[in-house]
Amino acid sequence: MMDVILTVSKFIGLMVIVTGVVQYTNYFTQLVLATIQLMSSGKAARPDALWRRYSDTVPPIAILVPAFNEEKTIVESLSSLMAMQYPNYEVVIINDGSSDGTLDVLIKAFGLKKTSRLYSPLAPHEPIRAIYRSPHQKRIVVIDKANGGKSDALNAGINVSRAPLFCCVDADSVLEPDALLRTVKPFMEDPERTVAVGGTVRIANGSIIRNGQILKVQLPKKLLPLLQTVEYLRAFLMTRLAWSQLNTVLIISGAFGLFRRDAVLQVGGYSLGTVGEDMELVVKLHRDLRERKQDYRIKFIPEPVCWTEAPETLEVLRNQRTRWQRGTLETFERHGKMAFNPRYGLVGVIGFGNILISDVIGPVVDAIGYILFPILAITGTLPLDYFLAYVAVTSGFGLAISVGSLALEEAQLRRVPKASDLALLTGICILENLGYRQLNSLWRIRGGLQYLQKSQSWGVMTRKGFTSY
Amino acid sequence: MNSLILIWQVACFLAGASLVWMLTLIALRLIRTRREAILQKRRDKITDAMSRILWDETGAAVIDNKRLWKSQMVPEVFLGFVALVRGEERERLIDRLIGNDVDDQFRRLLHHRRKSVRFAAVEALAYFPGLSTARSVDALIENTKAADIRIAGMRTLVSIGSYPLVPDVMAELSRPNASARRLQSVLSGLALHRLQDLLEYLQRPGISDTERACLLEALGASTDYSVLATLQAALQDEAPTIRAAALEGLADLAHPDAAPAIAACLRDSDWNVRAAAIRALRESAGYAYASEISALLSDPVWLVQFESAQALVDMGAPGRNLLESSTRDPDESVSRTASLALAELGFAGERP
Repeated sequence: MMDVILTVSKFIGLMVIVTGVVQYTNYFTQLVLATIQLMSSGKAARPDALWRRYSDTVPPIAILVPAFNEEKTIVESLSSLMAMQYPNYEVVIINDGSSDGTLDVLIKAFGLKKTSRLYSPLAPHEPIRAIYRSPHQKRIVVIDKANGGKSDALNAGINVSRAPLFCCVDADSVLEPDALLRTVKPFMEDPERTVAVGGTVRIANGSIIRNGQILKVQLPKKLLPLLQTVEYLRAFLMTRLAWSQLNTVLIISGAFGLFRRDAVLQVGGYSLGTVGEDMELVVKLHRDLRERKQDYRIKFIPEPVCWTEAPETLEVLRNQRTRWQRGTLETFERHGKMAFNPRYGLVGVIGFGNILISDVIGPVVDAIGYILFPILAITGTLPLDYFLAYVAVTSGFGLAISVGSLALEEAQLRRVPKASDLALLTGICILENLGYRQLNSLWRIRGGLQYLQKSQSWGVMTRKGFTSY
Repeated sequence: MNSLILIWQVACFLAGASLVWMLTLIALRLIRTRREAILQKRRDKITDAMSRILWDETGAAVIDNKRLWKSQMVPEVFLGFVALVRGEERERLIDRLIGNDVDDQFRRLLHHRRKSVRFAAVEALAYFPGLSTARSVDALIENTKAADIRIAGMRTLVSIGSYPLVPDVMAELSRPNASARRLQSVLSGLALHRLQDLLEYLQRPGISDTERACLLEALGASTDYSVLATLQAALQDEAPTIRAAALEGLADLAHPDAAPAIAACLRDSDWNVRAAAIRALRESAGYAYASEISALLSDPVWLVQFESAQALVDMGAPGRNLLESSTRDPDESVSRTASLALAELGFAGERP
């Protein structure tokens, strides 16, 4: 009987190891693709050169900022957006039925007056209660509407905005002044085919921010945001850059992305009643454009940077991660027919294959490993070679991937302020394998369970506000 | 060898290699930080020398330091600096730089291995006209693979009055990463100084709709009313992009003779064309077509409604009066659009 249990356990253990090897082969391929992409794109131009080259020809952009109970950060966010280095843009804040003083602080800070605006309700959303504009700042438009969620708010913004491109930005985020000029470049170079472009999102915790401007970039002082700094580097610099090369980017962060308005309206705007609206929109665009056999590009470029506040407590982070997982699974289900369907080309094979390995199978197999291997080790029935291979797939490869992403960032972009910060982040790359990564897998399992229960909750997301750093 | 042990060994190797790579990069960062500080000092010195040329004139040793002007950073610093000065001061700066052979240095930098240096050099040469600059930039355009540098080169050629050939410019549109919007300034320059070449190219059989649209839009910059007939003929084209581009050209020319043809486009089936027609008519005809424009307040597309209201407001008091009277129109869609537009443009309160 014992032999049978041992054989079954070893078989399951082997499956865990094989899945881990497949996952990391996928990640190493991404790292290689991202390296090639970064090396071929060359050094980014200085902001003044960008302005000189593009300012007279860039298309107008509407920056859409959905805001729900953001009274602590909204004025600073809007101030930062008013200082963008871009010749032709408007900022549309959508107050999504906030129960705090979001609208009041905006009215007070910018002297907003009620006005009206011609628009067509092309994408669905809850009723708009009022539209406000500032007599002193012509670029500002504030929409006050009944609560309907982030997708709903963005749809209202898309309808009311007039520019051919719109940029969605989270209210708790700070865009670098040249971010729009950098992000619009693919639209300038390939205007017919480019439908969406995503930029990098970085962690702002620890940096000095005043009046919505990053004065000094610094690493977070707390462990949890530091761990997320490494995680974001991996997600943006490695995964999205790699998939961008193959035109299979499936997610443009809701915190910062630039879209062609007509292409988004063609697919009906953001889907309502989803928690992963950013990913769902991009997948919907891929699906629609592939079905209509259009030649198109959805790109990620690493230079434009959006700074965001990362959760500093385990509870808030857990809520965020379970929500992300629910969003991913929801999109996977909703557009499941694209998976491995030749009609959708590489998006179906690589994009959906990646979700299947990393987000559907991955967390389950990881959890089995975390339970099985310690039991086998404690009972003394785990052969040494199994143990070593398991450590390799849970920590060794993970360390190589994280440090590789950090090295890529340093070799090409150099946004980490000091050499000592690089050393600290290298240490974090080692540390994240000792608990954080495992915790993340458990949160994703939790997200999967919530998804099966069809939960639509966003969880509590508390903000400190930038000035408190 | 046991494959599980191999997995362990590969993981150890990769983790170790990545850590070594990272440590090397950290060491390099320390060196680079020092180098950056040196480069910043050099940048400051160049800026200081340019400031002395303009406002001080003392310290000839600084201004005439040949070694300083040989730096590859000079074009970039120059472009930032020259954007801040105008007129006689700019001329004095450029004369003095020519005296120090800075333009020669810029021409040499067109062959630099780094793209960013070549890019800045070709942009900076726009301030140093002459045969040698034209020849160097021509050679760069011919030899470079980078589309953005070629377009920058063409812009420089237009700036120094050495116009590139129209077919060469149009060839850019068929290349990958071509930016029609960035080429538009080159084409506008050619329309002013090489109009005949542009018109001949437009008559070529088999040119693409994109090429035609770019050319028609550029014709508006020619300020030559002889192109009116060409632009009006294009209003009959099948492709809406061509009709819209011709209307943009007509809007730039703002000639009243074109108004009847433009007004006919207010009934176009494509809303982009209708919107462009309103803009063109506003420039060309003043109040003459106000009632036709106000009819578009009931257009099914909101952007056309808005363009119509905006055009009426831009016509001054008579147009605004017409818009105000439209708020009492029995057609609900017209009255609502008019009142919303007036409120949005800040002239009246929104109707309840």
